[in-house]
Order: sequence, then structure tokens, then C-alpha cells
Amino acid sequence: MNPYTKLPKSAFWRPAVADRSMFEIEGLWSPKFRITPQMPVATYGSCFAQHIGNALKSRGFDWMISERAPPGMSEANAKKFNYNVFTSRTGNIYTTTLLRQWTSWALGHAEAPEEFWEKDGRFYDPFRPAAEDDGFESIDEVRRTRRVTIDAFRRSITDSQVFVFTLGLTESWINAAEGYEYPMCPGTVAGDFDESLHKFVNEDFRQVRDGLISSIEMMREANRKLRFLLTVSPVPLTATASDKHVLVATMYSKSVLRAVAGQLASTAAYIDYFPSYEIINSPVFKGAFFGPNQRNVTSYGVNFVMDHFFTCLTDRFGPVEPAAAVEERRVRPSKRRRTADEVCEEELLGAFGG
Amino acid sequence: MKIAIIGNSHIGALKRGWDVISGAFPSVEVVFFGAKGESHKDLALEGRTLVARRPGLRRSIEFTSGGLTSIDLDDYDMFLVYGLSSNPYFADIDGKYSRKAIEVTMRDRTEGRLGFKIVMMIASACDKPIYVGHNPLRAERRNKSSQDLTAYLDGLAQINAAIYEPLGVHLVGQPADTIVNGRNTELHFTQGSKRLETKVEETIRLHDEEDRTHMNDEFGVLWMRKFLAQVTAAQSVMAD
Repeated sequence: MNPYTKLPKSAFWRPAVADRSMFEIEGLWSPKFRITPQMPVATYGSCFAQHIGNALKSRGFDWMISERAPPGMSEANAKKFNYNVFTSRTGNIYTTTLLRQWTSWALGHAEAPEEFWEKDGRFYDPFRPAAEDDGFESIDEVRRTRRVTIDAFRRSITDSQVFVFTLGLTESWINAAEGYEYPMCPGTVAGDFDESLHKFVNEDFRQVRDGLISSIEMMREANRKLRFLLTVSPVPLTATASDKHVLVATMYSKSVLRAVAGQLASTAAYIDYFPSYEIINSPVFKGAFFGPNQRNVTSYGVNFVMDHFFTCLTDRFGPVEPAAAVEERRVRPSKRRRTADEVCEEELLGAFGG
Repeated sequence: MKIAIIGNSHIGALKRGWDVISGAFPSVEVVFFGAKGESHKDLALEGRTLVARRPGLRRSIEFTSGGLTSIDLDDYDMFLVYGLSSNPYFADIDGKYSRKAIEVTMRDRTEGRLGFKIVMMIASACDKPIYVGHNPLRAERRNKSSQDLTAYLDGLAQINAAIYEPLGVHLVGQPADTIVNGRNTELHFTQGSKRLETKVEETIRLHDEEDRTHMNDEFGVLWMRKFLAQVTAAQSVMAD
């Protein structure tokens, strides 16, 4: 008799992994808390986070959008203008320290800096540099729409029940004089790089952890019931400013992020970790979910991850009924409503045939 | 002045309204070319005539116009394209969006709509005045929302300036006295006092309770009065 004797099969490599096809590996996540279609879920983080939002929406869950596109804007243009990518139009929040920065602005702990970039007569937001491809028409428009995003980010804290955050990078760029962080290196998407002002920081475990703890503490102060679901982006760095090979830099970054996410998830019942990173990146899956450049995750891979997500939720808490079905049952009319065309036909007959 | 009104079921209200007030406009002749839903998608421009490419549309046009099977653009002094998925635009009075996003949205709400395609066909063949009437605002009871029309009126001005006026076209708003809550038609305009005379009377009885998009003859009277006042004023200015 020893501690391993009574462990489930999932604790042993051979029955859980080696004896199975990679498509039969199951139970990689045991959710700590239920997520139902009636619970507003906010999603932020690196690029991979947007897949979670889309998957939630497509399965009838309440993916919260707190900053909506103008009514009537097409879906394609809404994406182009960065609406419906994350819960609000922050763009990617790659680092936990950037999450802390957005959170502090949203909850009134700090003011967003008065920094704006200009290029060819258009103006860009250093903190949402890709919000609109062609930038904004004036500094006032940048400032005004940034305020809209900050307010929407605050609502995604105060009005959601689950906050999903995908940790993406350890590498960050800061304004050395003022201490604030940019989501992207100045001079890449917009702005001008100033070697004396813009400093590279490759965050270590403590910096990443402190950023995330501060963010969660601030958010919980504003919404005591808020729960957190952490994931780590499986997407490798597209470039590194460290002096390491990009592959080595990627492994460092992901390892730190994974360790922080794991540690925080082990400390509180309201923080969970979903292993999308492992599903995509584990050697067991043979890199099958990456595109030819070994970086982009294919739509098949995304679907595989999200199928696993919903299967684990169902296994743990039972089947979920999409909110739409609940609503449909609640308001189902006793009589069939006539279609618009049926009405149209009658209107014409009535007006011209009478 | 001879006006061609091209539209879908929503022109029913205009026709009934026109029947009521036509006596007050002896110099105006109106010809309606109606067909249900999106049937006008089968309308094509041949030379300077809009012709129906399908028998169903041709029959509808013939029925609603009183015997005409096509729309000869030379026969009319102006055109009104009504309904056909044309939308108003409500101005961003809270300042939530960039000007670029607003412009893109106004195009999304307009271009690609059936009404806009017909407008473009007419505009490509003649330079006579073309007006657009958007689908009636969805009907609701007056509620505690702001009754301010600024977003609606500013939106009309913006979409005219950005989309329609560069094409020599003008989007006409619905009468202010039909609007409640800043963005709805007052509910009673969906409730006709007289029943529609068709063969399916039982279905029609449900109409007033459920349909919030089609308006009655009272609405049609107000809409046509406003429209005719607007176009006759415009004609006077042009004549001066």
C-alpha cells in the first residue's frame, strides 16, 4: 500500500496517455466552478483569448461584450475596428502587468497617461495602437474613445461573473520616465521608438505573479463574486527582444506564465486554470494543431481545445442548456408568429386591392 | 408633377394615405410600384426603363400601378424609393465612436440594401430628383425614454451628407409627430381603424396586435403630407 495505489487512471502516464490515441485523451481539466450559459463571461489577454470568446458565443454561453460596435456595423467591419474581439476594445493584453494597468485605470486607481502618437495626420493610442487601422482623426477622438474603452473594461469587471484571462508574454516595453507599459513596442504598429525612453523588460516569475495578483485583488474589490479562469497562450513569440533565440525565449516566457497561472490557481477557489496550453503544446499532440509555420494554431486545434473545455464542464457539472433555449422556452408564443413576408403580402393586397 | 413610388409592403400605408389627401394636391400624380418583401431584387434597368425579370414581380407592379408592367424613367418627374430595407442612422450623441467607424457603419447600413440598389439604378440612368424613405421606425408605446429627436435628426443629416447627397439623393425622415422615445413610431400608427380587405381576414385580425413594422393610413397621410410639402418646396426653389 502506498499513496499511488488508489489514484485514478488519469494520474498514470500509461493508461492516461501512452495507451490512448491523442484524440482519446480526456479529463485534462477538472473545473473548480460551474460556468453556465446564464453567467456573463469576460475574455481578455493574448490573441488566443479571442477564440475562447467566440467558442462561448457559438455554444450559447453569455460572452460579455461591454463595448459594442455602432448599431448596424457589419460583423466583418466590427472585427476590423476591433469590436467583438475581446469584451471591450482594449486589444491584446499580453502581460499581467498590462492587465494591472488597465484594471487600475478602469477602477480609478490611476489615470491613463496623456500620451498620443501621430503619423501622417492620423492619431494613435499607444495603449490600443491597433484599435483602428488608420488611427483616429484627432487627439480628442483618441482620448474620448479610450475613455469609452476604459469604462467598458470597468463594466467587464463589475458586471461579469467569470473573467477569463489568457497570459501571453513576459516581454514588455515600458516608458522609463513615467513607468507605464505599452502593449507593443513603440515604432512597430505606430509611434516612434526612442531608445532613451522606451525600455525593454523581460518579466520574471515575481513580476508576472505580482501583476496578476494585483489585478485580481483590485477586481475582486470591485466585484466580490468575480471568478477567474486563467489560460496560457500556446502561440510562440513572433519575435523576441531578449538576447536569446526566439525558440528559447518562447520556452522561457511560456514556462514562467504557466508557473504563475498554476500557482495562483492553486491558491484560491475562485481562480482556475484551463490547460489549453498543454493541449496544443504537449509533445503528446505532436504539434498537430499548429499551422505550417509551427506558430499559428489551426482552427481545428482551437476547436479541439474548446471541445475539451466544454466536455470537461459537462463531465463535472452535467449538461448545460444554452441560454437561448431557456429563453425560447420562457417566451414561446402560444400562436405561431407570422413571418415578415406574410405580413408584407397582406399589406399590399389591402392597400391596392381594397 | 408625376411621382413614381417604388417600394415593398410599407408603401401600402403611403397609398392609403395618398388616397385620403390626393384631392388637396391636384397638380400631383402618384404612381405606385409595389411588390412584397425583397421581390424588387428582380428589377433590372434596360435602357431608361426598370423592368421586372420575373413574372411575379411584373404582376405585382402591374397590380399596384394600375396596369403598368414596367417603370419608364422618362414618364416621371421624381422618384421615391420607400422601405426596401432602407434604414435611418441614429447619430452617436454620446461620442462613443470614431468618425471613421461611423462612416463605415453608415455605409454598412445603406450600401447593399435593396432600396439603395434601386436608387443607384435610377441615378445611373437619369438625373431627376430621387428621394429615399426608410422603413418605418419600429412601433412602441411611448415610455420613459428620452423623447429627444436629436439622434434621429442628426443621424439623417449625417447619412445624407455622407452617403446620399453626394449621389444627388435625399433620405427623407418620417414625420416628427409619428415618433416617440426618440427612435420608435408611436404604437397607435400600427393600429388601423379599418380592416384590410383581403381574403384572409382571420390572419389580418392578428396584425394589429403583433406587427410593429407596418403602419396604418393615418401614418401614410402624415408621411405623404410631409413628403409632398418637402418636394414641392424643393421644386419651387429649383423653379426660382
